[in-house]
Amino acid sequence: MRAPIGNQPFLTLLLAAAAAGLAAPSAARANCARPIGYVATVTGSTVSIQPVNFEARGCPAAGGMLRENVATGVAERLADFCGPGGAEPDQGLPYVDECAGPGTYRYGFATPYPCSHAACSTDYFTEVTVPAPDPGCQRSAGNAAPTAFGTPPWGDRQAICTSASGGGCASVPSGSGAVLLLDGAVLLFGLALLRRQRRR
Amino acid sequence: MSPLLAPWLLTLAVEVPCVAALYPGRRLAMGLACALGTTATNLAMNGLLPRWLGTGATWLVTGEAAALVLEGLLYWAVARPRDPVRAFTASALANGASFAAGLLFLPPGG
Repeated sequence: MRAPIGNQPFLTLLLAAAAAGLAAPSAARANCARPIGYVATVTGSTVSIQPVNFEARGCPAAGGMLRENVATGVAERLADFCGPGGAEPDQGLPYVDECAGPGTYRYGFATPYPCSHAACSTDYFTEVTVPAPDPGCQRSAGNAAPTAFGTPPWGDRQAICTSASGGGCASVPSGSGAVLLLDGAVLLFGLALLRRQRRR
Repeated sequence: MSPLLAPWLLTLAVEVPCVAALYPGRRLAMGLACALGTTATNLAMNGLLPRWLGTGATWLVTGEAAALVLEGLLYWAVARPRDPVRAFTASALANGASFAAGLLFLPPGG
């Protein structure tokens, strides 16, 4: 004897939710994929920039890490001075910018991330504020001063693309529809078979 | 907070009740099996698979299809009596609902 399917109103509700998902704006978040960008931490005048992405891209990166002073618009390339890993075990190493003066800065790769349709968003940079000067600050050995850089790739736009806004390079990711169709087909086929089993 | 945490928690919150609903006589055991299986597939998909497949449609479809199959096999192995139809129906319901929940509830950039 087979067990009954169970709580029918609950199942109906879930199926309605799945149907609503089919009708919702398509955006690829495989079980809700994370955004791609950076997480910055400020300690005194030291800024640690942790790249967050699916490929473990971190320090040192081809093209390097840029720092733009928001007030002056001056962009510089940081030395490839890498911090310790561990905070994000699945990520690459963070960049460490020592002795940054007070001000608001944008940090991002000189070669931006490619737009990922699967992530919630893909960012050019992260913005942080260093609150106070640190007159006695000295760089660590091997951490050269930043060097002048031309124009950063981002302009004033932080997002390279988002998966739900329809802007940037965002578009309907083909994989999203295929996933919903696959799950829906298996579900409907299974429910039909279970119903037949109950009738016997 | 790890960027893997929110997707994992939302997936668990959606999938465990879905699977438990389809196994009324073994809700606790199947809910636990779902929690363990979903944790493995979710973290593998968001943390490991992108290193080999990138983050495009290939990764998305491959990862979700693999989760559907692997979780279905797990439910088939754990449930008593064993019923492959119910197992894969539960897996499809849970994975479809969690995918839809991700589309609806995780804001861009959040």
